Amino acid sequence: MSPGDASVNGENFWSVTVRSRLSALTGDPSLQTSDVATDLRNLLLKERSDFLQELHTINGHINALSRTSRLPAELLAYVFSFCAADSKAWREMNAGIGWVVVTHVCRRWRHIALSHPRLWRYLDFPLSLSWAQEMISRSKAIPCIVSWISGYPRTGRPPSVLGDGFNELALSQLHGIEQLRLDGFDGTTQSLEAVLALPAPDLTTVDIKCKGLFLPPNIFDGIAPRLRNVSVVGCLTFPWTSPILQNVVNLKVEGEHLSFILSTRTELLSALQAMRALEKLALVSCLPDSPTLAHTTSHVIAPPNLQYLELCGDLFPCADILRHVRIPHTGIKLRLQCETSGTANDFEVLFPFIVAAGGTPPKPFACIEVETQSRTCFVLDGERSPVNDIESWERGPNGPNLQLFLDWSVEMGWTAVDLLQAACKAVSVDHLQYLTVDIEEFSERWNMPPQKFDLPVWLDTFGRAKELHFVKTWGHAGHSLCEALSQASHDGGHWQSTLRTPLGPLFMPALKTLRLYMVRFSHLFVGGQLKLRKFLPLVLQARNLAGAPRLDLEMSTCSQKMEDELKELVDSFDLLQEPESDWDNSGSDEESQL
Amino acid sequence: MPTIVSVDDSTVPGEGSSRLLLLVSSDNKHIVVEEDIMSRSRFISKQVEGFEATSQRHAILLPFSSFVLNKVIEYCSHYRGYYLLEDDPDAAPPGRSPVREWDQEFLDVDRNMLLRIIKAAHYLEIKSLVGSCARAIADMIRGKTTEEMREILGVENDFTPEEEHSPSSKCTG
Repeated sequence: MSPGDASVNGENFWSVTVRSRLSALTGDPSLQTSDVATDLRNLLLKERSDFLQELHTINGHINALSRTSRLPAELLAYVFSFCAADSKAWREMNAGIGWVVVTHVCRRWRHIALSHPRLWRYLDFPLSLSWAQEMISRSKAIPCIVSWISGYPRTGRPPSVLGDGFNELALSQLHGIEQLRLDGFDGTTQSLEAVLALPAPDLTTVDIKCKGLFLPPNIFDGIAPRLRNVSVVGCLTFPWTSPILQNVVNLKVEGEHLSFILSTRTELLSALQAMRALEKLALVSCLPDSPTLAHTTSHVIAPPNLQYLELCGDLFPCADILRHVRIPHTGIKLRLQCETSGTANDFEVLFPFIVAAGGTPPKPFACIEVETQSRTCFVLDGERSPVNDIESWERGPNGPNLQLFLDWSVEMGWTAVDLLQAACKAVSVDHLQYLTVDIEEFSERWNMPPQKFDLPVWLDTFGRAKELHFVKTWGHAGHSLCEALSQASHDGGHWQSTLRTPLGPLFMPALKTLRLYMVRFSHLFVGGQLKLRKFLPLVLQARNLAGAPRLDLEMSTCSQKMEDELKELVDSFDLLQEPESDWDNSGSDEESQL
Repeated sequence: MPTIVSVDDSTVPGEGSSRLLLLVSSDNKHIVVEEDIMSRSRFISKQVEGFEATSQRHAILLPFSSFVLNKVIEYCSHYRGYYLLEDDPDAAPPGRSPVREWDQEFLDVDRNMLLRIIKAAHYLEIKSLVGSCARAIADMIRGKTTEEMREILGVENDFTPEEEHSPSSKCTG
């Protein structure tokens, strides 16, 4: 009999069948005589419950065998900590609980999350007050990291409204907050200013991006002894004289147009002088006005631990602050982003500070980066470059490395070569290993005298760079580099060559990798005697004869015809080929084992 | 503690300018690597200190395959001689900073391999690699639904109905 036939006999079929089934399950014959329907339902529910329990047990066993579950609990908690620190992706997809969703995956994940209080200290608002308090409870008094970032779609409320328990929590818990991040509201909430006037004894980091907010002069009631990192963007005031800034290590202040954040130069320098621990300082659009450099004072500050200085704004205020800061002899990374309504030559006011700043120290700047109207003019990186700033190809086998990256547009009429040479005198290139030169050709439409990254520049600037082993250039700079690699002498304003030994003062005995992009084979070298296609093989052969390392050479050209010539040229070289790594070989074996 | 076997000097040259270590993987592959490369591993460094104390050189047996070990060596070789903030014992707890570009490519491997690397890095006490792997795993699940996370990391739902509706799941902010 099939179940489809059950309707024929009504309840009898199911009663008989299920009674029989349940009898077998329970072994209780009394069921056959009691209230069948109720008892059967209860027992079926119990059977289902047992079955589900068994299913979850089986799933638990499956999980125990999974590779994820074999991770130590502390590792999984560590993974969760990255989720908790940045749960924006969950918040944006309308998951109001953010990272806490990981506790819904399986029992072990939930257990680990609940047993690591540090995970619960990340409070990303908007949150309800009750849930925020629950998280604080689970964090077991570990100082919290509080963020309020606008743009989460969940609330549907205007981003300027700081509801959802933030103020209530902040007012009651500010003493237990370690990091405070407020981003994206317009500061109309006066109660926020009241919150910011409370003491914050555990606060180490405050990051506020808030247009129109007046930061109170008595911020945190002057009590934030652990405060080390301060970033304030867009606020109308900044408490320069507050005692909470005394121990700050990293300070960034960015003003808005017509903001009241400006102070006088004297006030600014006095405030900075009080920050003895300062290592990184960025002042963006908040510098005191200084239309010229005529007026100067003897008020020079010397932050002993300064490692990074960023000044952005009008040219003269930037230069004015720069000349009042004594650079530590250990060197700093300097970043200037300057604008001027005058001519590009106005930027020459920077030269004395770049070249002679500090005077005695041989390398006052580990890195100099200058931008004009958002165009990168050049970057010089010295040996203090952090590894994070070095692209993969620029990393050598032995540290510390040196790199130099040149990239600018001359559309501004910038005296680029002069600035480069001045800057290179400020930064020793003796141990430079990696060099990239990317310079646009000068455009005649700007009606400026022609400037090229030509042979004298190469020789004058990099003649001492005997340790270069990676060079990448584009266009004309590559042509003049090839010329500089050859034997050359200056005679009466014309460059001549002795082709029998085409190795020049820029021999670069350590050079191993050469990248020449957008070169023209028709370009004449060596006093107009040879084209690149003839000249380059001579240089390479001479290097081989001199015992120099064989070059890993890569080139690109400007047309298909030249590409074909290039391929022929490259094929004719016995270029260094990197062997395949053992890793690649062993990988295939291992993949088959997985 | 790892198992340590004695080896003779012909197997592991070590008195020259570049000292070498012999690492033996769980699949019994012998891999010779410069000590300097593996100095990022606190575990290996402690082993080497032990060798110096006993004036004997040993091979170090490791509980993971040569495939994984080679991957770890590739990482250590890449950052040879570099100071990485994450390896500093006093480094700050994890934040929002992104994974380094090279690390992203290096860890562009399948899920199982990623989990094996993080376990190996944890065993070898290479904090920076553990951190990069943890970030990579976090990136895999970030923004995903519960079901998607289970799918990605091969985890089954083992909650009982009661647990699934426990107070902690009801807290939805």
